[in-house]
Amino acid sequence: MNPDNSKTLPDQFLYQGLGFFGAITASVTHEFNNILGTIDQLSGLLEDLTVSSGQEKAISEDQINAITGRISLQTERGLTLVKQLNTFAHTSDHKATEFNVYNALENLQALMKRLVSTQKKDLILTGPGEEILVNTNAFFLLQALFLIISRILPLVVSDSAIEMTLCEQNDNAVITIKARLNGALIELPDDRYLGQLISGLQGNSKERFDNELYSLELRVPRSDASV
Amino acid sequence: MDNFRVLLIDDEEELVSTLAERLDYRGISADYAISGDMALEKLQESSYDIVLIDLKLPGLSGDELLTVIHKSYPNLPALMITGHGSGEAGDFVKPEGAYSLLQKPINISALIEKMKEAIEANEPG
Repeated sequence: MNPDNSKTLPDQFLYQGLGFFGAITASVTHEFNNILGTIDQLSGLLEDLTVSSGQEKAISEDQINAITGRISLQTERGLTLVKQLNTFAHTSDHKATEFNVYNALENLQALMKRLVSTQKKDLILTGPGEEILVNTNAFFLLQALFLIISRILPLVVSDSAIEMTLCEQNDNAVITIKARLNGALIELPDDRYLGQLISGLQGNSKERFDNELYSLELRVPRSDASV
Repeated sequence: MDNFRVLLIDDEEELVSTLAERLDYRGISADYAISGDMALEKLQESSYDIVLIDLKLPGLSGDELLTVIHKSYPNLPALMITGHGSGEAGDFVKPEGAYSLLQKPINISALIEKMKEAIEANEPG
């Protein structure tokens, strides 16, 4: 999903927005397939043992409990993923809504897990103990972060982590993305659409690339600033 | 050809370990690796009659791993598996050098048949 600055901005909103949804759902459905495939194999194993118990020794209660426990873990994993995908899908319900930024970032981290790990990289999230609220377009915020992370992901040093940090500074929620990139003179593509997304959040960003260390600071006004 | 050794390579550990258990249960000696690097180590330590490789592996992808394996073990037959959620296996291109490309979820009987077929097809004469 490369930025295509030749498209008009309305086209870009449609194209990039659908691309964002597509990338997330493709990755998540891949994971669902693995979960269902694992449950399928575990139930097959249970069947194998049940069939053999008629011929040889009986299947023990411990064996049954161990396998059903493994099935339960996969079911829980699937249910968590459904909840995360559902939360993500509802981010497009409202033009603007008040939400806890950390929860949104945590969801994005979970949904991007496979996209990042297949490139042998990690995405780490750290944040403050207390909640930081913003009143903005949640879908745009997640999309902006997705674009930022996707843009640097192929360039991030293998077996290293992209660090996503949330903190509050004055009246802003500040999200920082940091990573060590391959090569010192990498030109990141200019992305007019990303700029528009950040403007739509009433926010601003500052990007730095110094001695292979990339960082981007995204500031979005807090809605609980005066509380 | 009822007893053979297979190396299963997939980053989904619970899936691949359960598959190995089920194959062992059927008298097929199954070992597994959850990354390309681990697979290459296992191949150095033991000998196998066939490898089963997931196309989507972290780091070294499945087809890249197949190329690396075939440089060192040119006569080792390989089956590929894909976990893409939609479409038939034929929608995806079978990497060069692989005997077949299978779609997840895996039917164990069909997998065993396909592995036997690949090993027999690879046998000289």
